[in-house]
Amino acid sequence: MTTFDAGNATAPRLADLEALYDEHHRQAIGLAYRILADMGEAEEVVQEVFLNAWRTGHQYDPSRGSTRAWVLSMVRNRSIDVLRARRRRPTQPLAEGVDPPDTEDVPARAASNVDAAAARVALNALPPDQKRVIELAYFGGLSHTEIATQLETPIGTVKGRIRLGLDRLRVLMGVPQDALSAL
Amino acid sequence: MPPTPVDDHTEEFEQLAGLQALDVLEGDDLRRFEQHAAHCERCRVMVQLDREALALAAPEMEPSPDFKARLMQRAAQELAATAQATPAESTIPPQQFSTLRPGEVAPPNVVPFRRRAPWASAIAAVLVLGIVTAGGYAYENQVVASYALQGSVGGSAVVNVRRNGSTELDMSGVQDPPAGYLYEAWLIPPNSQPIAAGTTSHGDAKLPIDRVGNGTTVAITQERGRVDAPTSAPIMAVVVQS
Repeated sequence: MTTFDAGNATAPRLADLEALYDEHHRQAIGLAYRILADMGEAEEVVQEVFLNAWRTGHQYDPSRGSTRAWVLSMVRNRSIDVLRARRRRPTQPLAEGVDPPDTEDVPARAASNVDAAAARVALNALPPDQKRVIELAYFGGLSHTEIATQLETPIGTVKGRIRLGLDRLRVLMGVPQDALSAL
Repeated sequence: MPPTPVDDHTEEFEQLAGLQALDVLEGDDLRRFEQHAAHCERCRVMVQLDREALALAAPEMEPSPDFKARLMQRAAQELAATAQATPAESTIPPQQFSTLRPGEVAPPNVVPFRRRAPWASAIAAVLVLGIVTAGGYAYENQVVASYALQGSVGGSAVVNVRRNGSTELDMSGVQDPPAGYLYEAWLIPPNSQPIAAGTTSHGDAKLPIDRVGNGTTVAITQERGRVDAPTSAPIMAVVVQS
């Protein structure tokens, strides 16, 4: 994995943007689409994120995390903003049923990254009730209270499932042992 | 790197780190965690790793074919606008841009780069913009779903839904309505009253209509002028099942 070249970012270069795009666009699009379920909106979000990252790359501190984490964090936050704004607007039912990405146009790619594959396996390996609350929180942008309401489950149960699910996810990913051993 | 875990680090904070990664911490829990994480690098890293792991759990996907071109075009336009706002005088003599070595003469079919650049670049930019714009337009306007109306009259009428979400009723070969009449389109959601969706006085017409929900009936009636509720039975209709 490369890190975003912020050394000369006071004058952004198209090559920097292209490198950033080539390395991270599939995960960025996948994440935005997972949250928004609308390819048009997902592309708008990802375009803005890449342009913003490219414009402000010189402000990015690589010691705070990988470029991938930085980009995906922006994609997730912006997607959740769009999702919440959409929830405040009147619903448009056809968008859900008629406007999915064509599988020929937008094929899902097989995982090309071990970490990504491990993350998917780990999430799918969680017990369904734990996986559900984590997905509603992370991909759905719902609060504890909203999840409890949607699932008609006590809020304490929701919190417990999230904690158990995340603990299990960390173990399955091997995250604490590998990444936190020095801390 | 600060010495971590810090003295007050407990397993509870690691659980809170997971909740913070999901942005679901609220109230006192949020305040306590933020105060702790401000001096606990281990917790900050856990939040970051949890977020990254969850982000990676989404399957990778390819965007539309022209997405990268549109992105690069936007960036190029921003760079061009910035360059225009702060023009810099070049101190390099023009001949230095020539690709010819001293003493070489340009063959008749070779235009030295310094002469070609202004107009050639402009044409290239227009061509690129044209291709990108046309490609994006074509993609966005692809019909992703069609629903043919059925009826007792000749000709055809189809509800076309495009990728960009726009929807239209496309009538073709339908006999024009009699003098003094027109055709009116209706959207009838399940268990709801008809909603007027547009009129036309021709049998060949395209009517833009609002997005059509699943189970909605799209119908055409013949009316004496535009009305707010149909006064006759539909001549053509279809139930949209998306």
